Amino acid sequence: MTTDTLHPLAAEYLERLRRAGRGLSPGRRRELLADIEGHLSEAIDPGASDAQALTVLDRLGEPEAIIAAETPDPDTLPTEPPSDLRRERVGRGLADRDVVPADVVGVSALASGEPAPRRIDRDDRPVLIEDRDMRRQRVQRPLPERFRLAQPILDVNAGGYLLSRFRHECELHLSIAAGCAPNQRGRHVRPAGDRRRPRWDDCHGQAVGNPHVSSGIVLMLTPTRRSILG
Amino acid sequence: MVAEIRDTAISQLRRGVLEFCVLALLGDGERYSYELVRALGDADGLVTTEGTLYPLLGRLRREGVVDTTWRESPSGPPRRYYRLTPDGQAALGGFVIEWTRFRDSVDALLGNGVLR
Repeated sequence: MTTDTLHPLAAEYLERLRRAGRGLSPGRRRELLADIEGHLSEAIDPGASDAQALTVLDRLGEPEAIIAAETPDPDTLPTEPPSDLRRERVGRGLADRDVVPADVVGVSALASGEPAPRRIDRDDRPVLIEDRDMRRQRVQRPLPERFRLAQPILDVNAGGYLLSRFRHECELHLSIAAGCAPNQRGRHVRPAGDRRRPRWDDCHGQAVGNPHVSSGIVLMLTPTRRSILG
Repeated sequence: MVAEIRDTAISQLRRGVLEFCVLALLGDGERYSYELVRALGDADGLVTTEGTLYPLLGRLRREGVVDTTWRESPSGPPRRYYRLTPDGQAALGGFVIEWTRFRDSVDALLGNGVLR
């Protein structure tokens, strides 16, 4: 199918979607464009009036909103620390060690809600400090070469903040926490070694949209740049 | 402030149930994507923009609760048909049970509680 068969406004819309979707993987972008192109072909006759076409496009929504729903850009996710209430929720999850997979060697102090440094690596060395203001979090000592940070995420905004904070420094691994539905326990949404840009939506939907997920998401961060290693 | 809290709650509720509404629409048999999207778009209060349903459909495919096949259309471009997988049927069945409990409890509270 080509855009030659589309109403001019539909073709223009599709071009906007194509441009907005440049950050998607090629396969996913192709799929999404095919889906939307099919929708436009079904909904708008090439000979329809502009007013009719605009009604359909209005129902469809802005192309940028569709791309945002496909893969929320960490840049657009909240960069402010979670509110006290949210931190409390996350902290409660952190205190529940049952939700931390056994192979995770470190547990972030991010969600502890405590101002004092916490020992978080395998050797119990202090590594990260969490101030009450999460924006001032900093590395206190060099991180071990293979350090992982585990963060039970019970709140989408907290997860978005963490991704936006660490996405340049870390290889991110998202997995469903223990305590979820048995068939999802320990499932890695992003396999180790997958260097794609973090996709928060991978776990966003699991955490928020799936009532079978009872304990939330664990976010594991593996630093990949020496520049943050103190 | 109150309106913001309400809107956030409604948005989260909507987001939580939407994927199961997709699965429910497929409970009676396969449908192609445009059919699904229009059915959801026509349901009052469920969807604000139809286009954002396509990312949801993509996610459901990746999660393996639906699978799809392309077929020629009698008119126009090929259509992508969706159907439930066994995992999707199980997820829908579980949701129906939980949703019924949830709905009944909320209805009872709203009907007998302070909000009346």
